[in-house]
Amino acid sequence: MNDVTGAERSPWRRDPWIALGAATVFACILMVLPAPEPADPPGGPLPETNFAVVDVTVFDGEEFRPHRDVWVEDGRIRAAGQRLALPDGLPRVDGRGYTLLPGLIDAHTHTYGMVLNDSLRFGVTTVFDQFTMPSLAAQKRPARERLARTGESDLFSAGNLATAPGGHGTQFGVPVETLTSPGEAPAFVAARKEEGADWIKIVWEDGGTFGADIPTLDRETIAAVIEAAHAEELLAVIHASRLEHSLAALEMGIDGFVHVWGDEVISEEDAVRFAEAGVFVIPTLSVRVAAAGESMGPELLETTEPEYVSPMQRQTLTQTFPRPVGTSEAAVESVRRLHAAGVRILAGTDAPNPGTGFGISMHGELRLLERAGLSAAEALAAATGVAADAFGVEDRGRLARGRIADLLLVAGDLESDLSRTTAIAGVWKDGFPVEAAWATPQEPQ
Amino acid sequence: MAVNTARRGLLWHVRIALLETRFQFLSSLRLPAFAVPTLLFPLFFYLFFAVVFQAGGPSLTAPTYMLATYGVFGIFAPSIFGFGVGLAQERDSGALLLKRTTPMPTFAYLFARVGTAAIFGAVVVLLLFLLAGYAAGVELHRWQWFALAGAILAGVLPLSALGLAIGAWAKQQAAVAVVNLVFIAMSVLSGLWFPISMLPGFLQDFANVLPAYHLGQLALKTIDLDLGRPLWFHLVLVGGQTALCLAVAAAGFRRFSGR
Amino acid sequence: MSSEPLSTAPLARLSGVSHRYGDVLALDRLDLEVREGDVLTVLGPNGAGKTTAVSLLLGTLNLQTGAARVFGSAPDAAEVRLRRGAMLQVSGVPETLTVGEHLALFRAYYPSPLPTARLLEMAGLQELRDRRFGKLSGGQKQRVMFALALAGDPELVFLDEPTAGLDLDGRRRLWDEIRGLKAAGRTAVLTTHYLEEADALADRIAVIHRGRLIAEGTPEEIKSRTAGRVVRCVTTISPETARSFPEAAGVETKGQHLEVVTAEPEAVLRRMFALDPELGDLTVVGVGLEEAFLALTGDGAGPEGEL
Repeated sequence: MNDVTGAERSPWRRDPWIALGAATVFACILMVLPAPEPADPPGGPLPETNFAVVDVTVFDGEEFRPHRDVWVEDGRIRAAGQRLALPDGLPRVDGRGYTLLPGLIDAHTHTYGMVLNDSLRFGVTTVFDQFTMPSLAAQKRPARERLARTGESDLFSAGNLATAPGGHGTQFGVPVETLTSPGEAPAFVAARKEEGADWIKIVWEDGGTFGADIPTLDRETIAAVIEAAHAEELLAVIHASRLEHSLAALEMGIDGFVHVWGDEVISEEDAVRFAEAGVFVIPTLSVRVAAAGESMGPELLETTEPEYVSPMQRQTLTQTFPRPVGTSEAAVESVRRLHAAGVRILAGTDAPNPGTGFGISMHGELRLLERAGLSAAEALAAATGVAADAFGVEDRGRLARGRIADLLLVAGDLESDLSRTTAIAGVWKDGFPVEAAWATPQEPQ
Repeated sequence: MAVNTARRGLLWHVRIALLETRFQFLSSLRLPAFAVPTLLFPLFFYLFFAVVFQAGGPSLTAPTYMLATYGVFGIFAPSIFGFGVGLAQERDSGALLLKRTTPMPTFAYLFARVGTAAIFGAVVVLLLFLLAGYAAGVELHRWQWFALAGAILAGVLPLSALGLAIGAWAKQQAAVAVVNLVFIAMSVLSGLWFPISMLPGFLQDFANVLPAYHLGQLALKTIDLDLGRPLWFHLVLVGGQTALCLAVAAAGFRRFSGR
Repeated sequence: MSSEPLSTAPLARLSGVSHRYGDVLALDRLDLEVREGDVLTVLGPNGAGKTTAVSLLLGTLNLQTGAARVFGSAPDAAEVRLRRGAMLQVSGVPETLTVGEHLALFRAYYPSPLPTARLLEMAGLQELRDRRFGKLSGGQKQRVMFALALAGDPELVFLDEPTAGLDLDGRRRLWDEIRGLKAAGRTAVLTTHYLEEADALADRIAVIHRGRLIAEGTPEEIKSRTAGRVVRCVTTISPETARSFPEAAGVETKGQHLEVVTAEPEAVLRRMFALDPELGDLTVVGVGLEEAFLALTGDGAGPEGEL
């Protein structure tokens, strides 16, 4: 019976070849399936106006979102999200290993000269100025509406501040309109609005915290200015260097504080009152620590390539206050309590005060906010989304559809190391890459 | 080519395993109740939800996401039905008993079932990929196409173990019901039909006990659309669940042999 | 039990095997030997334990007590599997594969399989090679299972109720093939509840009842113990009286009838007419399997189900 067993041809001799063939076909199809167009690493020249940054960690103004694409079209954000359907041929920047943020907003500066270029080169694409010449603000205003190649940050400003004759703010040799009584408030505010002020800034400063005695507005006048500003549908923010004055202003219906006070630490109960009132605080810790003799200037200069720092930035960063005022611990603790209570915190530097520099100090301010208990995302939100929302600016401050393509690209992961914001790999303003922001020194021009 | 020796080496084992796979595959392919839903359901779902619904949108997130989840869904059916129902049926019909009297190594039988699920899975994956790439406009880096295919197909093993555990215990009729229930419930609760983030929180936590959830997350991880849990978390859990299924299956077979 | 010299060790044997399913004792200290070149028929009613015994010899059932050896090894040893084939009572194969595909797969398991054409011929499946298993009739399926059992050209083949479901023609053909196996020097273990089948094929018959071996021997030996007639009538003679007849092998009442199994019906009839001249409705018939069991077991538990 055991015959001719070898004579039959096995029907499955071809099976391994069929399997091999099928696997090859499988692999071949995987080889030809659509792949994204190649993206250029950010090292070379950056694209402008119409482009995309792909597979980048986005900070959208509120939180980090990994592996996002951001599509810029005609200087605005066309779309931001995962795996966008990008058109063929669109220039792409490979964002892997990078973080893309909305251009930063410094919510407290005093603008003059060329400083808007210094800000822009450090990724601060918008500044909220808290006192400058109304003529300068008016001159810079059109750039806000224009999507064009520029070397300067956009400027929003309070313009002429509200202070008493001879009071704080009048000492810089710039002509300042002042007021003395509540009855003048409506006309004063109307004039500011006429000049183009974006909001009203009020000064309540008797010089007591730094050992001086200077004239200041009385309570009634301050209350009248706040009321007049609201009547004109303008925000009213206040410089108040004492906690007592700040609490009083809170009662008057102030919208925001442009400094954290330097005299006392706020109680947790009062911090809750701030939160319930819905006000925002721009602590300007950069200038608070500088006033206390602990300026961030040396640290920032040490960690930044020298050729990126302008002489102006270097000069103001290395200046010191004549004598220490307050302590940094008290200011930081107040911010910690305000933040814990849920008060909106905005990042602002008060540049160019001694120990600060335009643009560069925003990177220090972020680190100081982190020291006050804000997470990396909360600190960045204070410099982007929260700042834009607080001042009612809706065309920037977030990476979202329709907003202006003011962008900051930094190498690395900010969530784990916020100090990396100075590892700037690119800045776009209105969709245009900012010249010489990171590759060659600014000064030789 | 008869092997004129009783000594059976590795080559013999490989040959039998491949042959079992060949016939297991042929047998399944000719079973319309198995082959048609297995191949068509994932493709139909994908065509409907990822291609038609999403056509022309600015974002490819949904079609890309669904490529991973419907991919896992696509291998789910052949894996769990092949073992859960197929095995129970062959045991009830006596085919399994007959095989046990032959020199066929048990390994070859298991290999054939897993291999068949993998072949069906590979066909589903390939067709899904073609739909995604050429109809939905999905673009992936070259390595991601391979990684995604690999991650999806690797899921055949844990899901086969799950099917094996069911098939080892349930009678054929019961197995059909149990497998269908497990298949549908687990697909939904693991986020294979719609994103897991759309489920209430306690169900999202519950998903951790489901192997299909981890397989979905592992597949999504290759295309950066997972929920962000670490790789080892999913690997450890799905590995443990597979081991548990195998232990349950082994207990079932011991009961079967002792009868 | 074996009178053979020790040198011809049995090809397969069960020694002192008991097997329980829960409370049911399926095998009770069973001894069974399969000698090389023999066709051993295990005869018994359904539920007697035939399939359990075969399953233990195949290794598909775990041994509880006793010993089982096949070719001197454990029944499920790899070497054993290569040298034996089996046709199980309850078995199917995937329905969507063709007869030829099933044969190809099973042939591949063995080092020296029988040629496909030969297998098809042996099982009478020449015309059905390309037909799917699911499309076959019950008898055709049974023939496929027979062919699969022989695919590896086994030295020892187990056939558990091989002719169940076959028509007369198919049964005869299968018998011829089993005789062919024997002629080719192969050994077979066959279970059946047909005495006729056992008689036609067996070299030796082992009769199992309630898990115990109650008779073993050549067909002639078995028949001599069961050969005879059944005397059936309506009578006033009591069963006790009938059992006292020296010629009576077994006695049972069925309704009004008394049945007496005997090798000497004339003597029994003489005694009965002497005791009850009025007895009526008399028939004398050849013994069936039922009566054979009756004779062998003496307790009237006959086979059940189809006969």
